[in-house]
Amino acid sequence: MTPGTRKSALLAGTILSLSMLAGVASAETTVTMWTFLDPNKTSPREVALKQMIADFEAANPDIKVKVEPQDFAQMPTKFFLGHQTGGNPDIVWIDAKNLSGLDTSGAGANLDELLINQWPQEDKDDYYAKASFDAAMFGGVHTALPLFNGGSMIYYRKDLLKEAGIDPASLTTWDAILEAAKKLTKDNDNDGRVDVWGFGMPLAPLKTESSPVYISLLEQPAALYTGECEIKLSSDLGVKGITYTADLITKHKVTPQDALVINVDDVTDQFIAGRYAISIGSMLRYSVIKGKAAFGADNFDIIKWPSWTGEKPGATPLSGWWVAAWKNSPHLPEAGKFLNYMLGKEGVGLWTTVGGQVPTRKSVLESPDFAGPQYDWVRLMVDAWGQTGYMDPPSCNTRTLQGALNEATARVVLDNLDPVEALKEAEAKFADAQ
Amino acid sequence: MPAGQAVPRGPRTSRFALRPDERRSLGFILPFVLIELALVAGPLALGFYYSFFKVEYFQLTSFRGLDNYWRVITSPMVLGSIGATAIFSIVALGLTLTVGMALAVHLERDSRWNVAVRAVALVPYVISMLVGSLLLRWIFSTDAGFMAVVLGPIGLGDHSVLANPGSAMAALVFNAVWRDSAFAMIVLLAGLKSIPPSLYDAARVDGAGAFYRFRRITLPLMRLSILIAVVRLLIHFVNVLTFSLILTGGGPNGATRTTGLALYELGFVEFKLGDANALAILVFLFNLILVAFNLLLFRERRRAP
Repeated sequence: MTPGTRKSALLAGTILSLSMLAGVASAETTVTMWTFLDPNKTSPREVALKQMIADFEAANPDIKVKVEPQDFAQMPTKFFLGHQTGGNPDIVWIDAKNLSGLDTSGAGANLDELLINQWPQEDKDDYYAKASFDAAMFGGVHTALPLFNGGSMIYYRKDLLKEAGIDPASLTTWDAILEAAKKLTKDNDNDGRVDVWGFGMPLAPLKTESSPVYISLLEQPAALYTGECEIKLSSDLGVKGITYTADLITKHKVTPQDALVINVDDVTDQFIAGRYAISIGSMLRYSVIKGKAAFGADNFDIIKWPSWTGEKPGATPLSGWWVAAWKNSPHLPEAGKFLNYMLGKEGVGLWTTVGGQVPTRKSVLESPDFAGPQYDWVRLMVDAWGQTGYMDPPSCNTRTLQGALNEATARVVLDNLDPVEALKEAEAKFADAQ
Repeated sequence: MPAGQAVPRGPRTSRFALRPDERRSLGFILPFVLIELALVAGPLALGFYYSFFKVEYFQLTSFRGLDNYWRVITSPMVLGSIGATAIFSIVALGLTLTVGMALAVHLERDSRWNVAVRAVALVPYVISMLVGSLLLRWIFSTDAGFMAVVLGPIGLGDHSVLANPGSAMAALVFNAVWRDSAFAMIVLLAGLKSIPPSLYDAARVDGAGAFYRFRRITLPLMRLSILIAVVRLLIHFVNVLTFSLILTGGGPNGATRTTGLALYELGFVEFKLGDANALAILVFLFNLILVAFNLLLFRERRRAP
């Protein structure tokens, strides 16, 4: 080797070493997250997530957040299985019905150690729905925290109700809903087929949402569970609820029979398309409906669930999405940082202003940004949860309860089965699922 | 070595020793056997093991022995699903074969038109099952679909196809026939083309009509193709999940809840993985019978002149 080439080799080696050192110095940690949202898409929550990740990465240049979008129905199962096989992401979103899986599978990290213990007390008290904050607390340890408070609600079309002379504020009882639905069911072109149905319900056995039977049963939630994960559905309230639901289809014909196979996605699509004047729907879809409604973004609103007496609103189920970290994550501190951001005031603010969600934090809800009338629906939801909020016991397998009630309704509608017998069948299905 | 000449086998040194040609063959097969073992036999063994336990979120919580099997075979949901699967499989099989045979016979000649029609007939088979079923779901919807337009003139405009047990099952069968007739057509077309045209010519000379030729020449000589199509389609229909999951969700009243969907619900809705694995093992055993039947058919075909 000549002195010249030796010098060149030395120089090249030095450059290589320096660049490797620089590489080490600027090494990034990538935090992976499973969610049903895709930040490359354009729905309000997806836009909010994209902005949240960009803001977080700008503030934490050594951490990258990689989203791996998943099917929402399969995501919890994959995560619990992944705990066994070791292929899990650092962060995962979990729905209300699968929270207990975090404990049973042992996959959920201790969020008290990771986050909550570092929060000042006012931060913990900022969560106005205590049931939601503690829903994934097992053995005194939080394994997930609420990201969106969700639940079912009743949507209505402003223009159609106004045209029919119906005041939405008067829809506080099931009877009032029925009378309104009768007025609102219309065959506009007189071709013998209904163009707008008075009341839409998703009664398919899978991908369910609350039905009148369930809300009726929750008028006395204490009477619903007779023992640990033992349920009594064939009560007076259950019979009243299932008869009412079946009659909407068969006797009053204000709901299409297709409702028996319509799921929560379909009912949202049909409401967006203008096929229902009033409809049950998921509150989490509010922003989606607003973005897509064929009848105008400001031409719909929500009301609280009705009850039989109207003295107070019907039960308001509390569900939604929680976020957890994987116990065996190699990047737990970094995952904790992103969780902290996503769950903090800035994150919750984005979920609400950009993502169109009901905030989980009181401070965000009370900030001047949310004073306008466009957030009346948010205040209505929070008020409803405050009055009659209800959450299924996370320790019971309630995943099939609404499906079993829907099948019971189908038995009454199609087979004319006695409501008590139909509800007993649902009780047996629930018991079998435990 | 000239083409067609047999490969020299070489001597076998002991009972278990492999000849060079056998070693070479094993080299080709072994990777696939290992993949099969890893992806099929491994999970199968694990599923069999899980089927004796109560499994909660993939954790084995208590040993149940054969109790899971007993729970499954006495469960009204599973029994109902077996009935629905039987109706669905038998009706769909009969109609799929009939339509497939009609297409195969009609499109046998390789004219440009027939080749184009064959390609069109294959479209439902090549598109994703999920997309196809979603498409049909909207077509059958009373509110959004055009079934109302079709049924309207006969006074059934308000009839909900998917929300009535009978018509929902018919819709499920329609989905299967619409998609899988093309598969039947391909298998039957292959059988049809293997029949020497001289047999038809001779029959024509003897004055045999089209129906007689079909009954006495086509059907007997296509026996194996038909049986293979029957077994393959039956295995598919017994196991398919997509049609019922997407089209009806198993409703109404569980009328379209097939065994595949019951399995899905047990495993991924109720998370009763012990029960789900017990049912999966029973379905697997039934599949084994069908596969054994399929293998027998192939053996018979090898023996055929």
